[in-house]
Amino acid sequence: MSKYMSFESQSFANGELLLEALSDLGFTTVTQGKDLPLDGWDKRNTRTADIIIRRRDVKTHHLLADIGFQKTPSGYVAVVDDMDLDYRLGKNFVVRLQNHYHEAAARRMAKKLGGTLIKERIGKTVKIRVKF
Amino acid sequence: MPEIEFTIDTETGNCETKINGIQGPACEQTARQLKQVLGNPTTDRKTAEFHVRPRPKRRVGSNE
Repeated sequence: MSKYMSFESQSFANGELLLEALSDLGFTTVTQGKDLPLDGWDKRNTRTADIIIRRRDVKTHHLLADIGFQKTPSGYVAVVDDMDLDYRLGKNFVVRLQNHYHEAAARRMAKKLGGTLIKERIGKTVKIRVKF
Repeated sequence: MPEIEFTIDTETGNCETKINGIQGPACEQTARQLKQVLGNPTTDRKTAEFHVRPRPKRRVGSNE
């Protein structure tokens, strides 16, 4: 039995940066719309989302269900099948996505301010300096 | 040289940003741009540098 998991406390405020972060993780084909139904193996537990990675578009991942992002007042919230998190994407999928999202934000700020970007990794911390 | 420092905790996905090298309320403008990109932060506090008043430039003139 699988179910869709929502991650309300880990929302993505900026849709464009979310798409950039997804692309960094190799999810380049995205379906966008409003309240589009997610397709999964469990038809009893249907959910909708506004940004969707269709499992048919990422066949190499062998996903059991689509990966969705539902727009909420605080930003886009991931809706992912728990079995995909356990066996396909990794339990830390949303955290990895957040890391790439924040790196995309730093790149965006560097571009916006006409600055340069310096990235360094210290243990489990990534430090990015945007000098302008 | 002013800078924005992003500190990403790769275990939690949390990110802390800090604006360095801009004294006084001019810093607010950069903070606003940052909020436009990242959305509203969960916490927002001003550093000591924010409260430093930029020194007005002294005018040197001749005593006529």
